[in-house]
Amino acid sequence: MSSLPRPALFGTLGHNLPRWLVLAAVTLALLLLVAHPLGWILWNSFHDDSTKELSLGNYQRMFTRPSLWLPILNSLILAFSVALFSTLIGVPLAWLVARTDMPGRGLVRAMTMTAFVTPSFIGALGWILLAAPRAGWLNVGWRNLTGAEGPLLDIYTMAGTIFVCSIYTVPYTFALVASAFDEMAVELEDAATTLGAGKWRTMLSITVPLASPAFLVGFILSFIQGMTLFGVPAFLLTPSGTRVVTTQLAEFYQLFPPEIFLAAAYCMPLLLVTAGLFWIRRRILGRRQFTTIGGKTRRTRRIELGTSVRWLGFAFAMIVPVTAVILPFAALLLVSLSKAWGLGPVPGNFTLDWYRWALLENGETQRAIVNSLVYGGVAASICMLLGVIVAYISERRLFSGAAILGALATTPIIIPGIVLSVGFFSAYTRPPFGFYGSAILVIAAFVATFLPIAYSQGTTTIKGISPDLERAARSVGAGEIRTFLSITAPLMRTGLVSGWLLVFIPIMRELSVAIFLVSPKTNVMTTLIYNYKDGGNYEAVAATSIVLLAGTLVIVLLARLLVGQGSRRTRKTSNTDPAT
Amino acid sequence: MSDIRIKGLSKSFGNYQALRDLNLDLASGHLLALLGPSGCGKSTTLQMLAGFEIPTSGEIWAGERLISSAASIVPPEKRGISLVFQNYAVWPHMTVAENIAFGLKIRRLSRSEVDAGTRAALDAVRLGQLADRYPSELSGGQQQRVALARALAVQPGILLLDEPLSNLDAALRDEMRFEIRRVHDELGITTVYVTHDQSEALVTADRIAVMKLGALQQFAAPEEVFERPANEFVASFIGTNNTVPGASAGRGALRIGERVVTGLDRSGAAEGGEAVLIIRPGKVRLHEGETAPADLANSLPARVVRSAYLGESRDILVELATGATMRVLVPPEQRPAPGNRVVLELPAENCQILPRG
Repeated sequence: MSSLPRPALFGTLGHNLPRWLVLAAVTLALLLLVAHPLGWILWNSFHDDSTKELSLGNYQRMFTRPSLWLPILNSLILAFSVALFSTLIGVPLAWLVARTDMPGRGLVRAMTMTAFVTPSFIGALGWILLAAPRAGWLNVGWRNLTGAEGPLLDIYTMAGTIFVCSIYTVPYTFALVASAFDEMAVELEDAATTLGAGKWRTMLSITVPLASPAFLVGFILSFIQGMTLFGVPAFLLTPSGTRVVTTQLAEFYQLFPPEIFLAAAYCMPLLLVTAGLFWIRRRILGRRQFTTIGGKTRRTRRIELGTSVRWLGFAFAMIVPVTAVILPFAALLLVSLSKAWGLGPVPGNFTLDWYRWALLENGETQRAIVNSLVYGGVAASICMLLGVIVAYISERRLFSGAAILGALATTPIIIPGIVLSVGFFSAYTRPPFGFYGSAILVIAAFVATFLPIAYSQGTTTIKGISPDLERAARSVGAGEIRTFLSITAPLMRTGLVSGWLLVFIPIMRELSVAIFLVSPKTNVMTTLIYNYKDGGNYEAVAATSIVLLAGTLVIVLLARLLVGQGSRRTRKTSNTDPAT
Repeated sequence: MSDIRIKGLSKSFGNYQALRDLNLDLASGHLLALLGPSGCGKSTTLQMLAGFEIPTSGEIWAGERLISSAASIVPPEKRGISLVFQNYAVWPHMTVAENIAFGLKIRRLSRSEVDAGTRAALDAVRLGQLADRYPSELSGGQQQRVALARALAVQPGILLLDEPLSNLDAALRDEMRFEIRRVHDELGITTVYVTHDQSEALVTADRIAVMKLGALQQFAAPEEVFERPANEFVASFIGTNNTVPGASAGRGALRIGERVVTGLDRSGAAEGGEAVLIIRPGKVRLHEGETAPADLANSLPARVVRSAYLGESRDILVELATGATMRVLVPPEQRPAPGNRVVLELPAENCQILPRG
C-alpha cells in the first residue's frame, strides 16, 4: 500500500512530552537563528540612523545617491561577469574531465577541488603578491625582462577582481556539471547509440541536453557568489575606491557613528537578488531532474579526443589549477618564507621567522587558530544536530506543519554571509542579549549560515533509512527516543560524519559572516588575516594564510580518510530497500 | 496469546477512505490472512493493528484490552504485538543475534535470559549457525527468518506479517509458506498475515478475510472461501473461476443468452435480476460439435478462440453466444481447433450462482 505512513499522535500527554520538548527547543532555536536576525534587518531598514524614527529615508537615499547605487551596479557587473566566466570555463572543464580521455583528469579534478576549499580572499592575497602594479612579482619580472615602464597586470581593478572571483567560482560550476555528467545513466546514451547515433551525435543530442540544467544552475550559483563575495573585492577594489554592495556594507560599520539602519536597508537588494535567483534555480531543478535518472551501471563512455586535442584540452583544464592554486599558493609560500617580499625569492632572503612568530610568539594568531578550531567544531556539531533533528521531523512528518521547520532551516541559503552578519549584529549585540565580543555570537552566526547544508545532508541521510527499520523497533517494544538512539542514529553515522565535515570545512574558511561579529578576543583565522592585511605586513599575512590553508587541507585529507574508512562497513550493510 | 476483535473499524486519509466498517473476530491462536489486491485496505488494517495508524472510527480489542480507537491508542511499543515487514527491515548495523536480542534487552531481562531467548528464537527459525553474521551477508530468505525470529523473540501476544514473502523468489516463497505455518503451529501465536497471493493465504491461514476497496467481502475458513465464495469478486480472486454474467431465471437458475443454467444459488437476486455463474475451468466438460449428447442439461454452445497445450491438460478459451468468454481445462487427447463449434457441459453440482461485484 502506498498511503504514506504517518506515525500516530498518541493520546496521552505523558507519552508525547519528549516530542513536544524537542519540537519546542528546535523551533525556538530556528526562530532565534533565522527569523530573529532577519526580522531586525527588516525593522532597522525602516528607521533613520540619526533620528531613530520610522522612515523610508534609507530606501530613498539608496536609489538617489550615486555613492549608494553605484556599488549595486558594480556588484551586478561583477556578479554577471563572474557567472559568465565561471560557466564558460567550468562547463567545458567538467566535460573534459568527466567525458573525454584528456590526460591528467584525476590531477585536474583534485586541483580544482583544492581551489574549492581555498578561501577566495586568500587567493586574492596571493594575486596581490603576484600582480600588484608595483611590487607584484609578475610585474617586476616583466619590467626586468622588457625594460617596460608600466606594469603588465594590475590586480587592483574590476578586471582583476572579476578574474580572481571567477577562478575561485569555477569549482562550483565544475562540481555541479561534472556530477551531472558522472551520474547520467549510460543506458540513455546507449539507447541513442543503438539507434545509429555516433558518439559525438549522442553527446550533442543526449548527454549535453540532459546535463544542461546543471549549466544554468551553475551560472546562477556563480552569480550569487559574485554578488556576495566580500573578501576579494575588499582586498582588490577598495584600494582604488571602487565599492560593491558587500564592501559598502562594511563601510557603513566603519563610519563614526556607524550607519547601522542604512546598512540594514542596503542588505535588501542583495537579499532580493539572491532570493530571486534561488527561486529560479528551484524552478529549473523542479522541472527537470537531471541527477536522479538512475541507471544500474555507472560506467561512462568517454570521447576520444585525438593526440593534439587531448593536450590542448589539458592546457585549458590547467587554467584553474595554475591560476587558483599553483601560482597564488607558491607566491604566498615564498613570501611567507622571505624576510622581505620586495627582495624577491633569493637565497639570502629566506627565513622561518614569520612562522615562528605566527605559531609560537604572537598571541593573536595563536588565539585565532584555537578560536577557528573550537568555534568551527562547536558550530558544526550544533549545526548538524539541529539540521538532523529538523530533517528527521520533516522527513518522517512527525507533526503537521513540519515542513515549515524545514523551510526555516533552508532559509539561510538565500542570505549572503555579510547580510547575516548585519542581522546578527543587530539582533544580538543589544540588550537583552549583549553578546558582542562573546564566542556565542560568532558560533551562532556560523550555525545559522551553514544550517541549510546540515539540513540537506540530514535529509539525504534519513531518506536512506527506511521508516520500517524504526517501526520494527517500535513493534518489539522500543519507545520513540530509544528507537531513534539505537536504530536511526547509528545508521546515520556515516552521513553525520561527512555532513559535519561539510559544515566544518566552510566554517574554517568563512570570512564575511564573522566580519562584524568578532572582537579582538574572538577573532578567527580569517578575520585576523583580513585585519592584518590592512596593516600591510604581507610576510606575516602570508605566513598566517599558509597556516590556515595547510590546516584546512590537512583536515580535508583526514576527513577523506576517516569517512572512507567509516563508510566501508556500513556501506555494504545499509542497503535495506525503502518500502515498496 | 489473545484473541482480536475488530469492531466497525474505518480509516480515511483525507478524502480517501482506505477502510470502511470492518468487523472481524479472530480466536486466540488462529492465523488470519487478510487477502486482497492492492488498495483493498489490508495493509491499513495491519498498520492499525500494529498501532502505527489511528482509526478514524471503530475499535480494536486484543483480549480484554482496547488497544485502538479514534480517541486513544496504545502506542506500538506497549501493545505486545510484533510486526514482520515486507522488506524485512532487519537492522543492517547489528548482527543476526543482536537484531533478535534487541527486543529482549528493552525488557531489561538478565543477560542469561536475553541469551536464552535469542537462542530459542534462532532455533525456531533454524538460523542457529548464522547468529554472528551481518544482514548484508544473508540471503533474502534468511533475512526474512531473522525478521521473524526478532518478532517472535519478545513472545508477542499477536504476530503481524505484512506481505512477508513478496520479496522472495518463487521457490523460496513456497518453502517459507510452510515454514510460517510450522512456526505458527509450534508456538500457537495469534497471527495476522497480509497478502495478495491467494495460494499463500490458503496454505497458511485458519481464517481468510477477503477485502476489496476497503470493504470486507468474505470472512471464513479457507475451504469455505474457496468452495463457497460469497460473491463474484471473491470467486475470481480465489482460484481461477469462470464468471459468466446472466440474469436470474428464478431461484437456482440463471439465464445466459437463450439458455438457462441451474446451480447452487446464493445470489439472492430476484427473477430477472443480475447475477453471475461461477464454475472452475477443470469442472467444465467440453463436447466437440457432433459428439455432444442431444439431451444435455446445463449446456452452453460456444466457439473455440484459443487452445494452449499445458502438458497435463489443454487450456481452451471459448466464447459464448453472449460474447462472454470462459476457460476450460480438457484432457490433452481432446484437440478442439480455434474456430470450432463446441458445447460446454456445466455439471449443476459445480455451478454456483452468485451476486455480481
